[in-house]
Amino acid sequence: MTTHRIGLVVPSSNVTVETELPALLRRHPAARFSFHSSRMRMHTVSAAALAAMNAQRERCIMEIADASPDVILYACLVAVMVGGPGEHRRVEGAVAEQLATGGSAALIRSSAGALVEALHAVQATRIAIVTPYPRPLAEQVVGYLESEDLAVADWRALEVADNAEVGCIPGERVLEAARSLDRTGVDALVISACVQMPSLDLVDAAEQEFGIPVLSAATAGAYSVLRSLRLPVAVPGAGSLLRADTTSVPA
Amino acid sequence: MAELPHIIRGVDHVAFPTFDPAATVAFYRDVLGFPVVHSICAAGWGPERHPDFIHFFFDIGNGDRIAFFYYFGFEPPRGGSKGDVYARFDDDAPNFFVTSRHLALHVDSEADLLEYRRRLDNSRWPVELQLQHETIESIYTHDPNGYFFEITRALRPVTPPEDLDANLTVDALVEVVGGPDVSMAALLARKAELIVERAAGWEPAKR
Repeated sequence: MTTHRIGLVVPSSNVTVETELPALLRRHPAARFSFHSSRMRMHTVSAAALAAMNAQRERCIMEIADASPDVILYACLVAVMVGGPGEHRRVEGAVAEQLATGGSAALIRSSAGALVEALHAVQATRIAIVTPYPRPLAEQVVGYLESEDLAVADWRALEVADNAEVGCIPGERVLEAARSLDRTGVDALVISACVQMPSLDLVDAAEQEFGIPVLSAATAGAYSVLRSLRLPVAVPGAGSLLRADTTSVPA
Repeated sequence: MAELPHIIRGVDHVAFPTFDPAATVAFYRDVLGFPVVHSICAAGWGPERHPDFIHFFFDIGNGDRIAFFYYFGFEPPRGGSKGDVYARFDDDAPNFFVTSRHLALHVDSEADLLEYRRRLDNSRWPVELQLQHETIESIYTHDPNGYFFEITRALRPVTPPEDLDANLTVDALVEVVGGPDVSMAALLARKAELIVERAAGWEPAKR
């Protein structure tokens, strides 16, 4: 079985994506993965701090490309979405060009683009989302998703600006926020629109409870990584999104 | 032969190596005023493990771009005293050959051409030559990398008969270089034959 190398470009204070993505992909029935990270300094989730972090992207791509990954996930959703509508295409395009210019065969995905891709994959048109962000940034995330033809019916901002604290938000608080959303007419719920806000253990249970597909930045990232590598999307216990190809895969 | 649709749209970028990025930026951006529009930081991730490098781009009008590669810590391969940083030749290489490969950029008017002449003459890279040909007027210099650099303007439009003539020349050239006598005389003789062969199909010029 070949091992697929996954490169992660993460905010330095992030711990969750490096936990949840390996946890998800470890459950894959037909492939193995290794994970390799490069870090951009970032502590406080604010517009200025995110801009300073994005300026480190080129260096991080240089570092991670040295490890010859098969696919790289730029794993900070809000940092991309504050760039305004369509930013994930610009960021992914710039990184793809950087990689191609140096002869790297690595693919590039972003958690921002992955969430959009995954929401379209479950054919969502009207969604509700829980974010950890300060309100102005959460509003930008909402606007970003709406610019991708996704009506955001309701949303919550937990207003945690310290990114290390975001990684410690208790699951009950996230679930409580999800329960408080007006889900009328909503066809998918994003229980964590942030790769740093832990939610992996909530996804399957929330899907049972709410009766609609429940996604997180992590499950969407896993979905996009699997699709990029043309591997079957067959990861149990993390929502219907990651069971898309399950029936077609021998257990 | 069926005509192939001509769908290409000009120059995306033309790329050259540089060993003096500071002077290259001074020449293209600060002297000529070509905006820096793009850059890429990369390494040799492919099979050939080459040095880390910067690929940077200047706008040369129409959205077309001239780009440079700067490789950290890479010394130019050795060569003779003539030529540029990409191609070096010994002293006995004739100048016509050394300068034959060059980039020419286009301006619309004499005033624009003279504006670039003024910018260059006030710099470390003054115009070395200003030439008026039959159909064009050009200024020339060498950029900091030794690349022969031309800015040109058309004095009159190229007319359809010139295209026709050019195609006769090129067709004759292609034939002659595959034959026993590769010479100007052979080319002109073959071109004359082609004119005779094809003239029957030509329509008289409309006046």
